[in-house]
Amino acid sequence: MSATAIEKEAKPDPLLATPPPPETESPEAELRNAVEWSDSIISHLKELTHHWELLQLTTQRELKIRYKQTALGAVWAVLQPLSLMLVFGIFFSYFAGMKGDTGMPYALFSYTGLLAWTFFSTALSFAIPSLITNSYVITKIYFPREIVPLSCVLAAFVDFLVAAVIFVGLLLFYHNEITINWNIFFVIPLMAIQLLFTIGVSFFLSAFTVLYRDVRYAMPLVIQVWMFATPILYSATKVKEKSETLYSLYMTLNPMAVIIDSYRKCIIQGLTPDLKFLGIAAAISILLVLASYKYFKHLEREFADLV
Amino acid sequence: MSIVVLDKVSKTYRLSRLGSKSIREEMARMMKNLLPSSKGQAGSDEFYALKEVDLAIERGETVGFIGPNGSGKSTLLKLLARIIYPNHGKIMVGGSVASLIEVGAGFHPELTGRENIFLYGSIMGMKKAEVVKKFDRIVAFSEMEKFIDTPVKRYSSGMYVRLGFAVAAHINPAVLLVDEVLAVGDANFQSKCQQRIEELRRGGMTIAFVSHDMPAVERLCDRVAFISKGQLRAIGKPQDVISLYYNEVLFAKKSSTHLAQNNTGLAIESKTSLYGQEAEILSVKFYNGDGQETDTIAMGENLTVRLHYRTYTPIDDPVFEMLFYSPDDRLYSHLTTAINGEAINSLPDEGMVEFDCREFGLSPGIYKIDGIFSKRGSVAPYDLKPRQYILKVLPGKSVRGMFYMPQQWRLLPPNETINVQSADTNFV
Ligand SMILES: Nc1ncnc2c1ncn2[C@@H]1O[C@H](COP(=O)(O)OP(=O)(O)OP(=O)(O)O)[C@@H](O)[C@H]1O
Ligand SMILES: [Mg+2]
Repeated sequence: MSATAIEKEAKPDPLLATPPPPETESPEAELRNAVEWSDSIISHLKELTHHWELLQLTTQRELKIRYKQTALGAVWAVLQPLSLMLVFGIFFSYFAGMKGDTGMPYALFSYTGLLAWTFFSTALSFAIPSLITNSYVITKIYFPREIVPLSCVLAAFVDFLVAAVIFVGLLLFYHNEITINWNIFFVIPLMAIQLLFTIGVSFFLSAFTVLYRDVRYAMPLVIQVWMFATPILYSATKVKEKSETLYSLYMTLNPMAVIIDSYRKCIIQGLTPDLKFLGIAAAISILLVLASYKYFKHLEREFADLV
Repeated sequence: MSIVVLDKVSKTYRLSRLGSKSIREEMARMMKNLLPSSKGQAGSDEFYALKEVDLAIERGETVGFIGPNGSGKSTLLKLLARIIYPNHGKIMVGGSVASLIEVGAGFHPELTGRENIFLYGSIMGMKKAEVVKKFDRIVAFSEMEKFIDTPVKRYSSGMYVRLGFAVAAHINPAVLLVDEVLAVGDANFQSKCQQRIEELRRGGMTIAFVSHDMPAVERLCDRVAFISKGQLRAIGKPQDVISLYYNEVLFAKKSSTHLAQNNTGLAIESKTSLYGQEAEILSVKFYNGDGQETDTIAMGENLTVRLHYRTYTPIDDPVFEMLFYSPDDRLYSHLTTAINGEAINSLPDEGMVEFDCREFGLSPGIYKIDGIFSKRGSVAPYDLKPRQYILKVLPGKSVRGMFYMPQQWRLLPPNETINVQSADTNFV
């Protein structure tokens, strides 16, 4: 073994003898201005699509690292909302006696909320510190920085899809107690809205965290509070019963509440979601993603200096 | 045609804010700013990591960047790599840039070498198929076949650099930035890297190279830029700029050693010093062939050195030594009376030791010299003056190379038998 190694060293390296291959990339005739930063989102998106493969790869990496480090691998993605569902299911349905107030099987009811919420909270908890935890690349090489939080969100989205398999199983199990109709196709725009909203929040908070480190430590609390302000373990109708104005405020200000309520309506109850609130949530999500992307790209130039 | 142009580029940092703030600090700052007395203080602790740097790098050129620690070399490369942005000025780069800034090309510690190669290639904008094509060559260059499926966090720092350099040197960017990474590699890999840089150079790649290894800079670069305190002090021929740099660095040192030298005779100095209790070196002086005291000599010229000593206790069988170091602290020559002189008996209390060199052999440059006064066979010297004396050597009888050898040239008829002369008679 070592003898061959020595022999190999003794031979002149054939690679060194070969001249380097000619530049495959034709050098741009115009000088690229590295400083110039046009403010248009279109140009940012163009650059991002240029790095599409990188985004794919970093998303894969996010998943791989997460699954590699845990013995359970991809099962982890399912286990998180599932175990919460069981715990809450047992706790609330038996001890708190909340069964039946929604007209939906509690397991299905709570899993819908937990599934959607887990996607949101997992995405945030990985995306928010992502620029800081990836400082070793950010300070060494250039690429569009939004790829970092974006890949965290996308990885969480993949987790979400994996965990949704259980959800399909639950749907089949309870198929007698629920109503499934064409309204189920609302899940597609719902997922899109949720994805946009999550990306928007992630862009803003991940960039903001680079500027102010303490945000990172405050976030778990904020997410916790937000969770209780979202109809995950209780039904949105409960809020409506209490006060109509509170309900409309609640549904206007918290897109996550609209999204989760709509998931339940369209999948389990076979109802059309409240389109007024859904429209507001969609508008908020789109505006948020545009504004926070702009904010992110504005701060991006300082990331390497600050992380 | 220029491929990199910097136009009055400045980069500032705040001394007090290395990194990000916390909201609490920010609030405290805002409160403070509300008070009238502290107005206008904000920004006063800004400093220039780079100041109004104008620079143009031609296509296919290799430019070295040298300068003391913290002078702004890495900052400059990071600006070129678009990792950071200038506060003022314009940077234009005509093509793709691959950077190897400090150790590690930006590898992910949890991923294996293989996965990192693909990730890095992708960051560089390469398609997966392209990386596949180059993969074997990269791995072969790094000689890391065995560890390619090991997470890079398990790599040694040298292994890290091997892979980083192998990747950066094979992905064919228009501009390659290398920031003092080679120093970590072993001798074999260092020479391999330098050969590769040579090759890339010949292949027409533009390279910016930061290093503290002056011989490497001199060998590899077409031009060298000297950066000091964020400013571009000089750019030009490697030899000239490097010697300017050395001059400057050593001059700053020299002024402080001058003070020390003036003090050597005083009791205060010898009390605080570890050495010089039983005997000390008072001075070391250099004389040229005309017998004039000097600090500059030409290569191949006659050099006389006089070491002035004083003893406080009877000393026998002493040894005097002189060590010549290059500015980057490589020992070039160690001369000692233990080998080259006769044993000295009954040393006078005060006197001089002289050594004489007919044809001084060290190559042009600046040398820092140790003077040592010790007892034969003893570990602790009576006195040691580390890098305390400076001698400049100018080009003389030799044209190029590491050192000069005394020599004679003769014209001979064919079939002449070899006529062995002893070294002694050669000089008489
Ligand atoms: N992110 C940052 N925040 C604040 N100051 C910084 C930052 N990065 C660099 N600096 C400062 O900029 C100056 C130049 O640093 P730089 O890394 O360019 O030095 P250098 O010439 O590469 O030095 P060396 O030879 O040690 O590598 C230093 O004073 C450093 O403290
Ligand atoms: Mg540096």
